[in-house]
Amino acid sequence: MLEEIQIIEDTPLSSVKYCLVGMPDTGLTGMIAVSHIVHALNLPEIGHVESDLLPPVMVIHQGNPKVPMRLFGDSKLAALTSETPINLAAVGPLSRGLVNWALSRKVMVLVSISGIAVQNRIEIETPQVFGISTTKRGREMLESSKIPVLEEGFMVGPHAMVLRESLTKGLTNIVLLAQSHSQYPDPGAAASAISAVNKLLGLDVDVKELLDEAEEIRVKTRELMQRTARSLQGMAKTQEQELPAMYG
Amino acid sequence: MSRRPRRLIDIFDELQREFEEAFEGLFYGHSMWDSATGRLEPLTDVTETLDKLVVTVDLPMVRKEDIHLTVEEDYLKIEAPLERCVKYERWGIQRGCEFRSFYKILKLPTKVNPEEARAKFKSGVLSIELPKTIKGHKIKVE
Repeated sequence: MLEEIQIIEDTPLSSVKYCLVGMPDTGLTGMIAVSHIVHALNLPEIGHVESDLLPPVMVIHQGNPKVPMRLFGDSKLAALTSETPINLAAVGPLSRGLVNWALSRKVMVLVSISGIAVQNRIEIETPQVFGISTTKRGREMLESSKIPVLEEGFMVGPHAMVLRESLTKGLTNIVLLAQSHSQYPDPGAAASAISAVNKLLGLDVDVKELLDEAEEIRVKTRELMQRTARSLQGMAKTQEQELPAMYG
Repeated sequence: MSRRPRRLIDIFDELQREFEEAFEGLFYGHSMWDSATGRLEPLTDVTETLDKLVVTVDLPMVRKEDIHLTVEEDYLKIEAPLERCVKYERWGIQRGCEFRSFYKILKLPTKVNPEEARAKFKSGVLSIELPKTIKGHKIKVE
């Protein structure tokens, strides 16, 4: 049976060591972080995601039509990002498609980057990053990178479904959550997330350019943030900020 | 009883409704910019507590001393010039779009007391506290 969502590679990859995922989500943190990593490491475009469940949108870059959800990188480091929010109907199939692709390409660690909304974000100079992992290997990586584990809480949205699929299928998925604005684009949170990725995967991505351009990025991503916030409303995203009903 | 045949206009009405539902927000969301005036609409968030409204406004590339705020009982007006023009030189067919300021009139969900409003600006985020207007009669609890 044809999958509802397919990752199409321009040149098929036999294996991929690490794969980063950054979708429009809380504070656009993951999308900004992964876009910056792609730009800073000059990762080539190597594929895209195809599905009838994604919005009927194409983007034009330098005169060339592009699918909004694209894959960059090589066999050492791949990165998947999207220029359009993921609607509720696509979340499940996308997560299954992504995890199945990761397993078929023997991805050692799938790293999802996202934001976690905090009420007092404007009082926080450097956002802290928390991690969650589906396997012992991932938890050891978090520990050796000194990234604190999120002890209690809810996760809602595309990254939550990727986490669930990975847990079910035995894939190491590490989710990095940077303290972030919930309704406003947050390049500062993205910079913190990138610093955590550097420690986790041994990369050396400079965030100076991102921080220098943070204000202009905030101006230019307002509409994507608004569209993303509307799309997250349909997923009960505010549950992430609720207190737990019980412990244990 | 035989059903009345549908009029052509009803069919078009239905098609229009279905189209709007399917593409709601994709094509019909209002745009957050106006190239004629060079104004951008800022992102805003309104939270309501028991006794006040807290409005936050994302105002990157803005200086505190340039922000103009007007508060009435049921609306808030925000005007703020950008430190420098933001240009979209190659976007779409409107070549050379330039934006010079943020502008928004926000309808408040409940009446507030403008004289007790307080605002602060930090890290490009304006936060305005607006105490609610509380009118009514005291009720003795027995």
